Amino acid sequence: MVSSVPPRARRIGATLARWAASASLAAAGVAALQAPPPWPWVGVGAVVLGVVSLMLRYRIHRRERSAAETRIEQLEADQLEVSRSRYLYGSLLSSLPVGVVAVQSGQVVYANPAAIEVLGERVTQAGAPMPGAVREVIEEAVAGRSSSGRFSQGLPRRVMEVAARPVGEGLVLLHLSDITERSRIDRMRQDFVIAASHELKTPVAAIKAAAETVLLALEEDHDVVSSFSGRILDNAVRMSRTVSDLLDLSRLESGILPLEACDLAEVVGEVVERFVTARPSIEWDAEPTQVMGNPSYLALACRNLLENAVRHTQEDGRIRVAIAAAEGEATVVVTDNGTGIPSDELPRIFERFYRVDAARSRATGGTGLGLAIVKHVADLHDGRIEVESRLGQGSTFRLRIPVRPPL
Amino acid sequence: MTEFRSIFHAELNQLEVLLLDMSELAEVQINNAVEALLQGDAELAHSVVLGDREIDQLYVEVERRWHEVMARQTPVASDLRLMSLILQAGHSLERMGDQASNIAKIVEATSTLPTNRTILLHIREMRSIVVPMVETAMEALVKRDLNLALRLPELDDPADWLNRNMWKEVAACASNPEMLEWAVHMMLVSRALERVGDRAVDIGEQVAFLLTGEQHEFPEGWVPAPGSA
Repeated sequence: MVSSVPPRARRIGATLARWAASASLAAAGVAALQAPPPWPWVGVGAVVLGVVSLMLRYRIHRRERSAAETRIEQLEADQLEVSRSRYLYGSLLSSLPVGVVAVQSGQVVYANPAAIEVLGERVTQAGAPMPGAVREVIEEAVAGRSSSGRFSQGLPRRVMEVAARPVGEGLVLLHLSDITERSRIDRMRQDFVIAASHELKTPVAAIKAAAETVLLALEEDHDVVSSFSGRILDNAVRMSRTVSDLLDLSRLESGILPLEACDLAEVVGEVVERFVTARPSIEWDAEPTQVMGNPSYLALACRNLLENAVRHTQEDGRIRVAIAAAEGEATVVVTDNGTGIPSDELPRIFERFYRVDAARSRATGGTGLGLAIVKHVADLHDGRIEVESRLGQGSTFRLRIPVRPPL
Repeated sequence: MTEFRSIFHAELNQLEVLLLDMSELAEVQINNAVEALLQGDAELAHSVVLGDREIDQLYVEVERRWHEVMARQTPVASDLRLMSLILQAGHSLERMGDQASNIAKIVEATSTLPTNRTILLHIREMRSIVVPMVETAMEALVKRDLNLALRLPELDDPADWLNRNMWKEVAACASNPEMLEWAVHMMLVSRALERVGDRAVDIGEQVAFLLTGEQHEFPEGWVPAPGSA
């Protein structure tokens, strides 16, 4: 039969039995002292033996007890240390901006708050639904291979990267990070090189081809000479505009902009006047609004916003320019009911050489740098440029400039 | 009893995973169908038509498991609402797959006709609106996020507007009979994409019903009663 007594109780029982045996020996000795000789001498011996044995056992007990107390103190200190580390690691994982998930045998056993934000509260449930990309990388990592994938989440949709790697003993570590900005910058870098070389090469190639034609036709066909000379001039003008915009951008990038007190309505009004000659339907509405700014760069930004509106709005369309002042900032609002901008292109329109409809906007004379210039002017005034647009319905640009000077 | 409930909830999770698989396939199919249209890629269009079978098979699997779970567990309250959502969302996703296939068939049928840039731009825009709507509806379901579900009608507005105004762009092609023939087909593409957006809103409505117990059509300016979420 298997004893159900726990080991610790058995140990205590054995110790008590030994103490009881020594005490019984001493008690038997005391009893023998009353008996006739030779028992009293035997009794003395038994008493001495019993008492000595009790004393020895007591000393052993004291030593064992102090060793046990030391061990308990050590264990308590260790436990405190473990709790402290757990708290430290727990707080670290909780405050990480990236999602961290631990998966044991295919089942999520831990997810930090950032991961719960992305994958939902139910992520630790058995077989909880997760995006396909996440499930795939977990399967790969369970099979011993590190891998990564992408999915989107939230509004507006953010691009998330999920990476998983096996860390041994059936444990898989998942890492979730928001790569929306990174993927946008990667794409911007790739597109910039292609677009910049295209913008510079195209007019040069056109000028070269037209000049060759002019040289060949110089003596024979004067009509061709005049038409191709016109083409040379158009392309030279286009290049000159690109170079001039690039120079404006590089001046803006130097970051030094002398600011002075000026009336925003006066600065914008002068720009609007120049456009009204060609497009009388432009509506203009503003009260004098004092800001600290650079009048020539503010005018440059407004010119670019208006050029943009005119280029993308039909002759009979509506363009409205207004200035609104509220809560320490002045806003130049340019609204049109033109072609509008596709939603997936909106985040990119302030990039250099970025064009929504390359063929059409080149034909209408844009350099692809106008909105990049506007953004730089806004940044240098500690302001910002915002856009709202719907394809087919038109766009509203807001250039916000703080009324106080930037520190 | 507890064990039965946990088996039941694991089965519900499996059904939701199947729905996620269906939605991800539907998104790929819609993206590819519109890409085939933009690039004039008849081969890609054909692969979309063939790919619809995969979504259909997943839907059959959802239905089969749904009936099993319904017969064995006879769920009540929020579990019953979830069961109802699973069947309806499954049907919506299957229809989205059909719409992708319809677009692909139109691409195949109109591959020789001249196209119009503005119309293509508008259709591309509709795709960039409705595909994220499907993702958002499924995210709202997985995360039980009422706010995400409530945002769907507002996301759908620009797609509806583009669909309603497509006739103007089509009418602008009237001078070229071949382009007009192509453009009339594009009204069907636009309608198909608009339906995808509507189906995503339907899933959002089902999620709101799951979380609040109130059954409403979203576009009526519906706001859930306080504390019902």
